[in-house]
Amino acid sequence: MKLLSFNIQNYRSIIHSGWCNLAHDNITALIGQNESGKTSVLEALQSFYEGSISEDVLRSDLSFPIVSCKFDFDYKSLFEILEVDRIPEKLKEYLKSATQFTITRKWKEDRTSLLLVTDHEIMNYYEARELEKTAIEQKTQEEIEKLLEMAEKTFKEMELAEQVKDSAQEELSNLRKTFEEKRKAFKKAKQPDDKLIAEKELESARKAYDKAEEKFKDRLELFEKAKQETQQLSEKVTVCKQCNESIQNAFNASTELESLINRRKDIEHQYEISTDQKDQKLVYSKLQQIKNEIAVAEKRHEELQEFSSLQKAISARVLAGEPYRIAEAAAKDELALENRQYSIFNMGDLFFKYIPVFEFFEDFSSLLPNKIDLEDILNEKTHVEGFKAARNFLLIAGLNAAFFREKNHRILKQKIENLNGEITINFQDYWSQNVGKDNKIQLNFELEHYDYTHPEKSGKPYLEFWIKDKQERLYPKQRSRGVRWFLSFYLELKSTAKSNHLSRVLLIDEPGLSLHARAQEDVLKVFEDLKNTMQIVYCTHSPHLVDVNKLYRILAVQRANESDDQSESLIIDAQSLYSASSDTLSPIYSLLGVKVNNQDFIRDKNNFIVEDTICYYYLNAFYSLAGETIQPSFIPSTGLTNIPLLTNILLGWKLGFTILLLGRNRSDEILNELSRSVFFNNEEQQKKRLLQLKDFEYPEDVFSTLDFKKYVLQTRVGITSKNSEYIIENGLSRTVLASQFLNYCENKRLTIKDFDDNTRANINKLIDKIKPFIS
Amino acid sequence: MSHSKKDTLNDINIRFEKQKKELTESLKYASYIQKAILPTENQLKKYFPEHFLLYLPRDIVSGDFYWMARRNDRLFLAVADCTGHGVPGAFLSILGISVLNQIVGRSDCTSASGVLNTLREHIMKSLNQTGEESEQKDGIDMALCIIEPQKNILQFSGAFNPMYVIKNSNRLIEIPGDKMPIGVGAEEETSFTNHIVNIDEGDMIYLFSDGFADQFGGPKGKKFKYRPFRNLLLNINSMPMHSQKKELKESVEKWKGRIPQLDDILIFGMRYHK
Repeated sequence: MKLLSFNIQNYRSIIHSGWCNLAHDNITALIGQNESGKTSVLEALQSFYEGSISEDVLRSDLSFPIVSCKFDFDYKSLFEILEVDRIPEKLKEYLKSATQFTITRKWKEDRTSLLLVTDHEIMNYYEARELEKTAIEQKTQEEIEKLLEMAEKTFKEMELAEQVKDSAQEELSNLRKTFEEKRKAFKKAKQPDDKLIAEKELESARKAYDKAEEKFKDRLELFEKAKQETQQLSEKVTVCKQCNESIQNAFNASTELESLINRRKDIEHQYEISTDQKDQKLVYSKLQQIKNEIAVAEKRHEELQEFSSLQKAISARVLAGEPYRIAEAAAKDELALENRQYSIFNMGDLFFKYIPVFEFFEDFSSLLPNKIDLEDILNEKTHVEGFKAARNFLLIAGLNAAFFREKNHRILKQKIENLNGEITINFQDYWSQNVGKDNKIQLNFELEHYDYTHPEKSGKPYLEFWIKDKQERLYPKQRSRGVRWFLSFYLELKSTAKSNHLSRVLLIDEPGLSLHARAQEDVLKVFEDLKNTMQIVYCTHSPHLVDVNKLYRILAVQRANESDDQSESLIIDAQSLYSASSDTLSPIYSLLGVKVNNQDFIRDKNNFIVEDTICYYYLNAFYSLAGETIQPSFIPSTGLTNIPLLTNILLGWKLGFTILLLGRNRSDEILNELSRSVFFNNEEQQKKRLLQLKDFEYPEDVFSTLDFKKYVLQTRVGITSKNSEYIIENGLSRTVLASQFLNYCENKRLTIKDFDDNTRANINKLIDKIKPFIS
Repeated sequence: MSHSKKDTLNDINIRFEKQKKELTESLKYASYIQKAILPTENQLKKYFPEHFLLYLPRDIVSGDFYWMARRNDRLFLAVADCTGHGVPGAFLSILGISVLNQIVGRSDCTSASGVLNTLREHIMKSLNQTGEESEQKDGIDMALCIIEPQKNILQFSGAFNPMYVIKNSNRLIEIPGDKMPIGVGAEEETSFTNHIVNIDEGDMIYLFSDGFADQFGGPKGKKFKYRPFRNLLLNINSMPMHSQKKELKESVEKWKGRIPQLDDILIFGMRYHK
């Protein structure tokens, strides 16, 4: 599991770093001037891992930090962490085919943070799901509104129907009375005329009654219908009203929470500005109180939100025609399934468990004590001075409690002596500095027992540490700051590498500041040794901590406007180093200067001055590929214009040299200059000392297109121009490509046979032309 | 069916017919353009006095194309087959022809394999191909030869497609093409092989696409295949050019029977004269 790249936003001076790739071989160096933002990169990565940020990390525009890290991905291992049935179905397929994943930590106003998986496919899935859910909820809400409106209308219609029915009933009742009266009058009438009149009136009353009865029945039917409709709606209405109420409650809870958070901010502000201790105490207690209230309100808000979601789901189903009980059960199941499935936040938290441990190396955290009680180490008394270093020491030595249980004192002493030898050899593999001639320091520990002078501990074992050289035997604390730092660094890293199998990203801020140049190179040796067990990201100013043959390891950090330390920090990756400023790249330039002192670099004869490091890399690679027995020493100038200067230096040192120029167009001007100022127009001298290879304008053009793609670019693209033109057109770094090529040739042990006819012919042609100048 | 529905269907049919007509006319026009960029019969005749060309596109426009050029007493001849047929193939063929003309104009391209290598770079660049698994693997299969009459030799390089040379009317020599396309393939690009073949007066040279041998038909509905194709060429190679073309055309017609033509068919044959 590896960290592949990172992207930092709004962190101190970094506004947006863009994606920065870490070196494939696990060692990445951040170079740049002071205040350029190198340490901010390390801190941002540390914050990503730990989740905490301090106030001073925030930018003045109050935009909150966002740090994303991309990791490589092995779905089999990840599936051991994830519960397969909790992964949404659509994501399973994606995760099976994915090779990388991205985790983003976003900080909020209260400086707490959220972890999210931010790969496009995963984000898109959750966004689509959220949109779908919102759309359904919106539709349900609209339907609820419609239903409630309709229910109100139906209810009013029922009321009206009831009124009409009641009035028809009253009318019927009145007509019934009239009819009864008429019937009585008919019975009472004796005279035939009266009887006839009464009969007519009775008949008329009966008719009126019958009509009214018909009318009443109609009204009653209408009323019953309206009543039934109202009753039918009542269940849905109740559900919808409950839903609306739950939404309102959730909204109220959210408003309440918001107001509490605002109050907390006010109180925090009061706390910050209060100077009086008494006031401060009072405000502090208020702050604690409001924090408790917020915790309660958050819980309530969460519960109400969940209840509201349930009510919405039930309403949607009831509105679609499901009976309440079935709808309730189904909605609960649905929500339970949704809650069981991983959310985007769950995913973030779970994936996070899978990533390497990010550790910030602390200077001198592993300082060896002069002595420490064995009991304190074995009982893990972490507070005891020097505990960590002593424990690390024993870890590296492979010692545990069982080792010290050896009863035979002589055997134990012998074992310790052997171990001291091994540890010293291992340490000396990294620490190449001598104290005096041929006098290297040694690490020793001894097992001793307290005597009567320590009555409270008498007889108890303790470990004593020494750093020895031929002259003296000193306690660790008596050694120089540099030795102490390196030892602390050595113990910490070696023990970290040994401690467990978890993958790690070690962040180191300016390692070896107090070390001599040679010892700084030793730091690089430790990195190289540990690169298979951990990833190391460090920042440095030192040229000794940059490997010039591995420029792909570099990320350059500089301010957008270098004269303004308030401007944003930019991170430039290895492919674009050419765009970094000279000041930023000074460790690399210094390094080339430093190498000049190296005895292998300049010889008495067969020195070839070449235009730049790019020519230097390629020519060395060509010679090594061709397996030539006599390899010239190529000396890189820093551009064509500096060749005369370099030539004068070699002349001054009376060293044999040849100037090797590639191309015709660019070198003509410098040829004139050289003829004039170096060879004083002496053609004979010029012929002996100057070789112009006109066939190749740039060293990259020595390769056939196919070999250039395969071995230099290591990508499959169509190239229709010269190789050198392609590099320039695509803004690639010639230096990085050249350095990578040399490295690739060495690592893969390529020979000239691996290249095609064209490249072979060109390399041979080039070597043949150089040959006459070699003596 | 009600009148209104019937009317609507009629309207749709009329619209479809109209669109089809427009599309066909447009394709016919495209085919004129495609023909215009292919070498004319007169151009071919000028450099290959005895030759024939069997060119049977499956659709109106074709993914197969032939190309020739002359530079410094060297004759360049290519027969190619682009991925797909019809419109996509035709687009690729136009790209192929224009790049070939560009390459042959450069003085440094003197070998057949060099032409194919350079053409591949152009195609990969034009189609933004980088070898990613997900990308479209469009490309061209091609047989390309450079005839050098002064030396009586022929350079050949092939992307999948081979070349046949028949000597003394009875000996067929197959010069194989490399198993990689002009474009991005499954494997990392390597150089195409440059074959050098001695040729003599009267030798028959055939360059072709895979359309003829891959045509389904016959009693069992199978492919024609290469062995019968070679035998057919051995039988007809001594005939005059127009008869060879006629024989080949009739053979493929007879073979396919009622089965439709599946791919473009292109065969170029020539008798070598110094």
